[in-house]
Amino acid sequence: MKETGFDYREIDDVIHGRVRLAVMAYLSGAGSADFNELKAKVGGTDGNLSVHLRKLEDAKYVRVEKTFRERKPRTICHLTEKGRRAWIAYIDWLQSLIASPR
Amino acid sequence: MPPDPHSDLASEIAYVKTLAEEGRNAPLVGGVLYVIWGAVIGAASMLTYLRIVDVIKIEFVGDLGFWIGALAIGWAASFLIGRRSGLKPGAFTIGNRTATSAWFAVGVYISIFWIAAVLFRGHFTLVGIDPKTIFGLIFPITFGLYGIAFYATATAARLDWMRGFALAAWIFSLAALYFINDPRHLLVGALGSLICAVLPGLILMRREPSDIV
Repeated sequence: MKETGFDYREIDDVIHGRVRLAVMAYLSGAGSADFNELKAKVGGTDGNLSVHLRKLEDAKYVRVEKTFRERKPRTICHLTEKGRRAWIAYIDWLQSLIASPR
Repeated sequence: MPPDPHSDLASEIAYVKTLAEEGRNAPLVGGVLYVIWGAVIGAASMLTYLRIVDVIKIEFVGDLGFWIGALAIGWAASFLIGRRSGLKPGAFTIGNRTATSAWFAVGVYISIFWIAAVLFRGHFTLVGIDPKTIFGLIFPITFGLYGIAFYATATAARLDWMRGFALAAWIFSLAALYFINDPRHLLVGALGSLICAVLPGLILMRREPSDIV
């Protein structure tokens, strides 16, 4: 694999999924976002997004904060420092993939 | 023909890039608060000026109770209308959190300064300082702090045009200082509130997402 400059072992499985990738991408720009805002941006159902957020939270890439606003529960997701480092590494991996010969 | 993996990857990267940019460029959502406070302080300043130059002959206008009432209206409107800003998409972005923190700090300091100026009136008189001079410092300080908050917000939210309002606020700060102990400093305050609070607030409101999350 090394001759192509691409090593599949470098793939971050936590990020490498359509929904989790979208969440990480949005949070990389916004820093933090409300659950409903994330759902509107990345699509999917509440349950589906919750499952993916849990995986990101377990990896400590995202911190989930639960609060109340006007008596309604609110879930706010924050990108952690570990998550930002993982995101940068993932982007580096993507770039190396593009740079690899066709 | 098999699918080109590079083509799939390119579309994936384009999707990721779009999302990252949407997150980074989420609009500021507190425009209505700028409008509320600009309108309240601007109107109160203008009415106080008109009372001092005898255009308005109502005793109550411009005195301590009048200003306490104006501030109460401002806080009530902020609570009733402004709090909905925090429910809009993008309310937790870096730009919005920086703006909220900066403007909250500005509001707290100005309020503390004003309360202290009211409480220390007797002391100022005792040591030979006209309390009106101290109150005359509120607009120079306020616009100076506005400029700092605008500058920080402009950097965090990547809104270069907002630096123009920082500059305008500092100009109004110096103008208000120049006219200290002169009723015209209230005119500067009224005009400054319009240009440095109502106007940017309206610009931000036009860019805000309308839906509540």
